[in-house]
Amino acid sequence: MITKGKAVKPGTMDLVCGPEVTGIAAHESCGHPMEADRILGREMSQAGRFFIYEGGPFWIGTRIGSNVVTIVDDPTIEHSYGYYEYDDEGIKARRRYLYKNGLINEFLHNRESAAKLSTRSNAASRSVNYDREAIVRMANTFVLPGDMTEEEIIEDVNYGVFMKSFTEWNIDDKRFNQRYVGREAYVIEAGKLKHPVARPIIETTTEKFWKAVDAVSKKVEFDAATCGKGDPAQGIPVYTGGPCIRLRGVHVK
Amino acid sequence: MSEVLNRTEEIVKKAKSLGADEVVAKTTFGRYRQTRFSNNQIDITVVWNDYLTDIALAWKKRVVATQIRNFQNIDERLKQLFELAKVSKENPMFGGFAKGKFKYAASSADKKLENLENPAGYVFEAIQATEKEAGQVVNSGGILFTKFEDVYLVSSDGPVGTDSRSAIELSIRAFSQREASGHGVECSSTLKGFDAARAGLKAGEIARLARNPKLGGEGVYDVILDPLFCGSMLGMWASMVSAFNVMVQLSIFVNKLGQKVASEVVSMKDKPASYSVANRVFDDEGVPTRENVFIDHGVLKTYLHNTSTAKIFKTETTGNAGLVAPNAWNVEMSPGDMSKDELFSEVKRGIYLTNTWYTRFQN
Repeated sequence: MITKGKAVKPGTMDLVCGPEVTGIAAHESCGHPMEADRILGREMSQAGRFFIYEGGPFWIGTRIGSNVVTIVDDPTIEHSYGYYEYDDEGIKARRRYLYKNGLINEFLHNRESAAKLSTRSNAASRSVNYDREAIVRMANTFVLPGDMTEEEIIEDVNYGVFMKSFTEWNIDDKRFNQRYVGREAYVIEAGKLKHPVARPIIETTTEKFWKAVDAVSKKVEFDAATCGKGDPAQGIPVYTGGPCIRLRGVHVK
Repeated sequence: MSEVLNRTEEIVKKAKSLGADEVVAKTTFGRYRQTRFSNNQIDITVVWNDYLTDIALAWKKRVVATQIRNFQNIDERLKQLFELAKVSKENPMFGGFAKGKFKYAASSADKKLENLENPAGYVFEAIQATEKEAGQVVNSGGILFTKFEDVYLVSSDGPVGTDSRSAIELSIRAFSQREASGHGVECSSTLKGFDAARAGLKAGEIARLARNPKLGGEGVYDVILDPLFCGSMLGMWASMVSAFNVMVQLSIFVNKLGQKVASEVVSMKDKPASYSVANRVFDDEGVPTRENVFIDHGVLKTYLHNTSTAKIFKTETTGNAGLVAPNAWNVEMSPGDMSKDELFSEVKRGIYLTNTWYTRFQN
């Protein structure tokens, strides 16, 4: 990729994200901004204040993605890295629909954040040890699979980039402006994978990214990961990954 | 507290009796307090105490390490560790732990930080200073953290030492608008050198300056880095001066000893001084710590070593041994001769970067 990859000519094109890229985007631009403690400003010193806030342009029911985008956080997947049956405040775990058919649907809560927002905890309270504060955490966050094969997703692209994996990513502390840089990536021409691309970059916003998605593969892949949050830091096991997704007409450079 | 030293020594003896060639054990009895606040109110104060024993042992050049919390299941854990050593591969880079007896500087830890009275007072002092400087009601959040650690180290190769380490740290970020904030930090190894209001004033000043932000364009600018930004970068460079990271190619300083790696006005040193929140009088092998200038007027002078990496590089340890790999303790960039106002006055078109977030390298 480094020696044979060619730079992509900057412009508007389609982008196919592999499971690794879809996974980091789901974790960073959906999972974290849906943590209610942070929405309430609980970590405003280090983690900032999110684009989701009461009285702001984004709240429960606001469109944040296309109809095909449903992102869940699900601790109940047996044998997964983020598996648990009850959270650390004794609440029975269940699948949480964070973005549902493109709409902001529900936040991740512990008892404290739920009480402050007049709702009930959905079992997202986790702590790394008995003497650490249980805070709102993700478990296994991913885009729900669709009904297409990866080949079908790629063959319907006239010109674009397939970003299979990433090397560098960044997102601002509002969790709105973000950037992903491809590690293994290829040009797509007339529905076929062509030469490798060196360091393709997408710089976008949470809203533009998820609204551009028009296709989701039925196959999902996961990696075990450690999500960082808190001070003192509480690294917690999660799954990241998901399906392949296709974004139409985004700026890639 | 000599009982803790005795128990640490007992761990070393047990490991030796199992057949270990060399053993180092370090027990840290830590008392930590943290007050977290947001939206100008305190959310929670957490207090936790624990005994954490770091153990590294070598058997026929197989090196393994573990941590035991609160002296639990010592026999079983040591047995497991030794079994792990037996199935591990020889580490050709292992050159032994430091040998001999050393004298250490006296600890200067502040007993007042063992049980800090009224942490909320410092928090509200900072919040009030923030609003005073910002000239309006601001929304502040942050963390006040204190630690007091008694450290006991015993090595089968000779070093035995005790140290006490204290620190108080305050981080406060103030939002004057939804998209305008300033960040201030304050830290000290003693309560005497700590001024909570100073962090608040800094946060308030930047929060005031940051009001009504405008989108900037790409281009070439002069850049002024605030100490908070610069410190974050210093931490990254310091990790790359570790000889271990040089050996495994996780460093921009590979094969650069004696070469110019920065401009002439740049000098950096690792100084685990008494005023630092990372103060310590010995490293994890029991070698006395010292000041190490690693970049002198732009020239890379040394990597940071433990005993093993020093042997590989045919030099002496720099007193930077961690449990496995050498670390920097407290990195400082040497001051120059200009005032902050002078720096700004010479910039015609530039950006003042007051903080950083998620800084990553591309390879």
